[in-house]
Amino acid sequence: MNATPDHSDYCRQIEALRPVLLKYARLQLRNLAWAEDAVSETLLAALEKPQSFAGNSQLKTWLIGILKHKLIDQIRRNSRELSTTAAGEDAEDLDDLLFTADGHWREAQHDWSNPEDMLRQVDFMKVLEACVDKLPGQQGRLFMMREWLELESDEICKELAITPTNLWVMLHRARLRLRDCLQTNWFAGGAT
Amino acid sequence: MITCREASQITLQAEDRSVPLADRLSVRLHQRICGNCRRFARQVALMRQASARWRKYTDE
Repeated sequence: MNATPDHSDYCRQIEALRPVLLKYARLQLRNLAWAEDAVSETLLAALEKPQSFAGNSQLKTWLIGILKHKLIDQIRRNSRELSTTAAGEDAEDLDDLLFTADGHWREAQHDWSNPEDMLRQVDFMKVLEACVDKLPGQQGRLFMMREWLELESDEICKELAITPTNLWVMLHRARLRLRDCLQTNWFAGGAT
Repeated sequence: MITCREASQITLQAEDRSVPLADRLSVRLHQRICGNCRRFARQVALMRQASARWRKYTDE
């Protein structure tokens, strides 16, 4: 490694992305110490192998790609603790709030208007992130593994040593909560 | 006929596993006469699109 101006510029650019990497690492792991480890490992990998950054993609895209691998490593390393801390969390059954005893909706469901550019709005993305952040720990972790890390259900079960039924119950709850949060914080306000 | 609760459960399960054809058909049948479950299914579909968009947003 030589300390050319180019190199220090590269270091600065990488370091500048630390906060955003930490944000997603925390969202995935729900544990600050593990998240910081994953981010440090990511930055270190990037500093050690600058030549593997092709330069034709954005630096952030490349780093998030590395981070996702490091996050899976962290999940593996801490899988035992992850499965035990999750027990007993969020026993509330959202279905009972949504449905009557004979299985009907308690309230009318809303049409979510979806203007062409809604999904491109940064404001919508921020509301979505805030809603994911509000999910209880294990639900949030599993939701992120499924939707952000894009792992298959059976991979998630294997990594965390949980049963498929357990996974589906948790994802079911996470999705209902997320729906409720989006309804309240975006669609109900007509903020489009 | 399945209930709304059952229909919503199957709709959500389909996001994370392959759902048997018989279940998919009973949801479709149910949705034909149930506006709430139709709207719920559209919400779930929109959430799926939103997740895909969000993945792009996070690394752009």
